[in-house]
Amino acid sequence: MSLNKKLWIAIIYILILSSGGSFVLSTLFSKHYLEEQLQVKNIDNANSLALTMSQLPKDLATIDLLISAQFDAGHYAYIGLFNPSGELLTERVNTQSHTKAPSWFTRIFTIKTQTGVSEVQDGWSQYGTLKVISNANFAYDKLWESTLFIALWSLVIGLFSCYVGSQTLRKILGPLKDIVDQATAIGENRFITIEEPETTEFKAVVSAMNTLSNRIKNNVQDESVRLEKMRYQANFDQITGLMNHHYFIKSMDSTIAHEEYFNHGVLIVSRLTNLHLIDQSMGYQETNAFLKLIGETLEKACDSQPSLFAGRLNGTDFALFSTIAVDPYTLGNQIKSLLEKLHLPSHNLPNHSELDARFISAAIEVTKADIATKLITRLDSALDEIDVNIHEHILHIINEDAIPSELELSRIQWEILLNSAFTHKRIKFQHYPVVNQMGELIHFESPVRLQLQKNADWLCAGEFLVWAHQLNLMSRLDELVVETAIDLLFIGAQPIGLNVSAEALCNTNFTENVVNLIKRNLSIAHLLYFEVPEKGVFDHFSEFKHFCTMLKNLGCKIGIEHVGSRISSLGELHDVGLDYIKIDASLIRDIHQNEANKTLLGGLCMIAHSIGVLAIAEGVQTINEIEALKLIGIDGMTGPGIQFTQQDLT
Amino acid sequence: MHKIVPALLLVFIGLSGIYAADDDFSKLMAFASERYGAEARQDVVELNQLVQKLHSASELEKLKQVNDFFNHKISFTDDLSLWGQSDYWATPLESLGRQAGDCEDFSIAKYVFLKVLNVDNNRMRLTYVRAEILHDGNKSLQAHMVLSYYKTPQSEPLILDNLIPEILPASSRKDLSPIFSFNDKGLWVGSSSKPKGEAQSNLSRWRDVLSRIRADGIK
Repeated sequence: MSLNKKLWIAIIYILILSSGGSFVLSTLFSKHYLEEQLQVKNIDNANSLALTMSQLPKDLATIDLLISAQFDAGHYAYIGLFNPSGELLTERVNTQSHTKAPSWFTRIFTIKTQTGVSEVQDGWSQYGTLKVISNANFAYDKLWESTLFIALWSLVIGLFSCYVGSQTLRKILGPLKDIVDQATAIGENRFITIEEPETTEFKAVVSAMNTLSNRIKNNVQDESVRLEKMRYQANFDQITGLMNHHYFIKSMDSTIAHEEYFNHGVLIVSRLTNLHLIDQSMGYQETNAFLKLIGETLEKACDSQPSLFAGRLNGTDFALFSTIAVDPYTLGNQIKSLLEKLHLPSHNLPNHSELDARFISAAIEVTKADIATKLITRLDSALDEIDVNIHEHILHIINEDAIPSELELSRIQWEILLNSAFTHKRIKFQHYPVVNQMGELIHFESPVRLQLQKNADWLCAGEFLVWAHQLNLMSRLDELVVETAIDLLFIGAQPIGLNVSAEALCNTNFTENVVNLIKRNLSIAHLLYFEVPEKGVFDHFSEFKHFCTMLKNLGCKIGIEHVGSRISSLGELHDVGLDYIKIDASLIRDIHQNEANKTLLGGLCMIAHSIGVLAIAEGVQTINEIEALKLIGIDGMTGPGIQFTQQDLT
Repeated sequence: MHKIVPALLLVFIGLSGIYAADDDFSKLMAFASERYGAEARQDVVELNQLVQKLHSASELEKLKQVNDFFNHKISFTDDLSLWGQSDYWATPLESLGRQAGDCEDFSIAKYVFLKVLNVDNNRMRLTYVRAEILHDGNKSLQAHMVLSYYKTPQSEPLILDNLIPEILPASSRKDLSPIFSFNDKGLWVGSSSKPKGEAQSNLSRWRDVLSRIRADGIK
């Protein structure tokens, strides 16, 4: 029972006791007072009538008249005269008087009075005894009226007290809801802070919880900044800020290896052919500044197209990888023109020098079957064959006719086919298990597949996502995915992990629709795991927080996937109440051989655990990786190397 | 030697009287000596002895002895000079203590102690009478109170008075004409005393003096 209810019950008890008590007491006092008055009236009237009779002639007619006069003019229930031997001489009994008070009332509060008795003298001799009983009905009426009046006022005062009580309770308990919410949030690993209320006790509690939240927040923030620095040092080129050779290759490989999301890509390698000349004429520092400029230029290109990432393969070679299918010639030209705009700062060069940066580039299409190192070698040898004395920027495209042409469909056709697939729900999930250290299932990562036409091939996400994205159909797709997942869960499916795109996240209708959908199926809500890509989370953080709050309230699980490039932002997650993060495959690949990444991963796990979040490794391939990850203390793993057999269930 | 025996006997009777005093009298004695001194205490002791002695006596004897005792012990004084108020009903203890009282104080004291001696309440009435008093040869009418004793409800009462100390039947008292009479019948329910908390000033004179008598220790 809530504190509010308990206090209400206490207030009502007190009200009933105090008003009921004063009510009964006042009735009893009134009754007592009335009894007193009636008693005095009985005695006085008996005495005065007896006194009058004693002075008058004692014939029965006079006596009778006297008694009648007294009885008829006054308020009596009974007047009787008895002779000294106790025999009745005459009497009057009132049979007409009634009281307004109900009989149960007169039974409970009976007014008991004593008969007024007085002696009538006839000279020296005794004439008789007079007995007088006053009519108590007037007293009953008065008592009943005053009781009703008091009851009514008790009620009015009681209601008023309730009103005042409710206002007071609201004021006192107002901050309590916030405090409970904060405590609940902390219990759910959302380390939020709230304003301290004024009540001393509440203030102490909130202050303690705020301190806890702030400590966690600071720890996570400090640690994530430290890890980011570490990640940068281990995986990035210190001069240009681009990925180093090692990390670029791993990132590329792990992208290509993702059979669901990768279809075709393009790799471009650009070479600064006259680096040694530049170095000689400008000196070490200026050369580095120029290299940094190149890095920034490529980085800018990547930022404008999320599907691109860039790296520095060695001193002179820069690489750019597009994870989606683009025309190699177009992309190559784009890069070429970007690089051509870079000129050496002339004031640093010896006079009349014609020296300028000279680039050559080569591009090649990438398919699922490719391996990063082999492609780079091919591009390398292609660049080697170009005559370095030519001053123009040469772009060489390696055409592989062997690449099977993908579905050659126009934009309109894609729109029609995707819509029809959505309408007819030609959708299914692939299942990739995510297991914990003991090999138990956490959930199935469930990338979506679509059938554009009836009985046609099922397309991987990588094949249609680009188009869905371009046609603004992502929210629709994600809603359909949630619907399908709910249907599956209802027929007994294992927990399902679903991807939510950044587009869907920013679409308020999407969140609303999903929430309504799940509200109707609350029993399976806890089996739904929603995961948003790291980039989407931090680019649209407030929307992500809103999404989290809404879905966490329903009991769903929320995670972030492909974590790795925005580690310093992890500190912001302390008050979100996240359930898990999936660490990008590029950090996992060959983890057993990479001490720096081991340390990085250990740190990530620690941050995650301190805010109650599970750390899961993506793209795990080999047994060596699995062993190393277990030692690091990762909570879950997924990838081609992770097997999970259904018979382990039930 | 012959004189000593009755003297010892007297002392013995006196002592036995003291020791035979029931709770009512011991309280009364304590109050008497506390409020009015040794003389008043002695009067109470004598009264106690009288009561002890009369327990088994005839009703007429009780009337006579009690009448004589109070007529002897209390001298007539009007209330104004004694109590500073025009009409004050004193308790027997107050009357004995002051050794003075007016007509109703005599009557009340006699009534109370006759009741103590188990004389039936129904046989006694405090009676307001109009008294003709000869004073220096002039007749004057005065409000007076006496105690009347009815052997039976129908019989002529005996009058216990302080003007004429001798107990006489009413017919022999031509100087008195009765107005109204009362006793404490119907005033008290059973043994219940006055209701608690009721202010003394709200009681009738009669109820007031009765409750003060109870407070003095006489039931």
